[in-house]
Amino acid sequence: MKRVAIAGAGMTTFGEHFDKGIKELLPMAVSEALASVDKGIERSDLQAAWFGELATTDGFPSGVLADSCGLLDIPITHIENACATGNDALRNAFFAVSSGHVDVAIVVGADKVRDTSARSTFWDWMAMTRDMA
Amino acid sequence: MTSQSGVIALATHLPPWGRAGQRSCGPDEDVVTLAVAAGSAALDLVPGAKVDLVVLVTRDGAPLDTGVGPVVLAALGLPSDISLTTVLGGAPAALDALASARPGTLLLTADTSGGAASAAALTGAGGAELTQVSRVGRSVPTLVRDAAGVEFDYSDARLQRERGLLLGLEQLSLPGKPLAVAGVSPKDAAAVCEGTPAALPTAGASSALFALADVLRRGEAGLLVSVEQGLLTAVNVQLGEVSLGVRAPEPRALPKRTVSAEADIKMSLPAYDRAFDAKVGLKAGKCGTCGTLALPPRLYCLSCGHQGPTELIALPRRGSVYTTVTVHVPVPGLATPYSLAIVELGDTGVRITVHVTDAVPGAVAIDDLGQLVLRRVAVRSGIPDYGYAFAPDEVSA
Repeated sequence: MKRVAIAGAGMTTFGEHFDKGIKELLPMAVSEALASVDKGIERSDLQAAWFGELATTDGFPSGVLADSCGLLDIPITHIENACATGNDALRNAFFAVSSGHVDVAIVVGADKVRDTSARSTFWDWMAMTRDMA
Repeated sequence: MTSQSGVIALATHLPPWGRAGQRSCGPDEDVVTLAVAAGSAALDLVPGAKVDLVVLVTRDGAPLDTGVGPVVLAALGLPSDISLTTVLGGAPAALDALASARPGTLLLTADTSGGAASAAALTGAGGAELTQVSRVGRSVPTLVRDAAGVEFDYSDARLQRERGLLLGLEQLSLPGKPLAVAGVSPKDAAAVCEGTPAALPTAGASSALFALADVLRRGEAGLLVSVEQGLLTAVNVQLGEVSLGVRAPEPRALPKRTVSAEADIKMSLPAYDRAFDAKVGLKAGKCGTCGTLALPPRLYCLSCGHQGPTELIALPRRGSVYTTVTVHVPVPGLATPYSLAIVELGDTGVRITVHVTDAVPGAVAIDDLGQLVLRRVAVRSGIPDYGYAFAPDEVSA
């Protein structure tokens, strides 16, 4: 197993972000992460991505990440594992790098919770994952 | 109407569905889409015309709520800070609004019930001048609506004719017979008019403008009367230079379609709000660095990698079909069969995936030309969601 380093990170502010969709929030975080790498990195250096998103917003998650961030030619895997979603995405990227399968992977976590009415936000957002009875 | 100012453009619009005497709305049409169809046709007649007030008159007021004004303005390509007034009324209200309009007014009229139709008039310097002659206001409430918009029809055509139209005409004390009467049946209108007025496709608000178009086409100056129940308005029409636009496709029966199951997809108002300017205004985001257009607009440019807010650029509404498919398999929430098309907009290279409208499913083919038109593309959580659909050009027989 190879040793694995986290070489950069980026993050948007947390908030309701009524003026931004997940397609804006994703490139903001990804671009900030790439820019934070101290010796620099090109978007084309990325070989794989893991995307932790608990509930889908605005389309199929992997495609949304690929399209909004220009990651069009690499495998992207969507991870959903309840509250462990982010950790699990990181864990899978770690396996890919430590096994030598890829040298550089990006891990992205995002959820857009406030895109439905405040009256029923969590119910609407989680409707697909719960027993409605 | 102030002197030296008059109607400079007049456009009438009929949906293709129904029969010759009575058109009906398609499933994606309402007062808003009909008003926009006529309004954009009127604006096209006078490119660059100044508009600083929009008035929308309709009897079918249920869909008119506070969110409607911005939809109409965005779809017409007008600035969002223009004043838009909605008036609940029929043909007399429409004629009153036009006769008292200052230059730079766009009057929109739309009817969804009792004959679907819409018409729009633009005022400016010159044009055909309308002057108010007389009005009658008697209470003959043969058709009323309750607070929920449910109609109660007293249903007595004879009473309406005797105590509305005929008594009203007498009380107007006109110097002669009118050239056209809007707001009543073609038969009643013909009986009280000078000459042979055209049969109007509706008795609602837009009938006033259909009647005006008829007077202008006949080329005679004279009296025009609008009627609704016991309300009558008479104006004198002086002829002038008016650009006339008519859209009256051959009527055909609305195709039978079925909804297999309802789909309760919730509205996301934050998403609606974010998408609005580009979606209802039909605008692409232009990359600040390389100029690439993206629809919908995007933060990260796929062409050059620039990331940042983009400038919104109005897209052409004319387009050609890049490819199309007709869906027959039932889809929850959608009436099938329906056709989708990917439409290439002008020479921008921008393509948009839309429903095909104003045509039977399967009617369009690759390379067919047509127009993107505002339609109510969905209703989510009770909220109408407006966007665009592709209306193919009428194929001349």
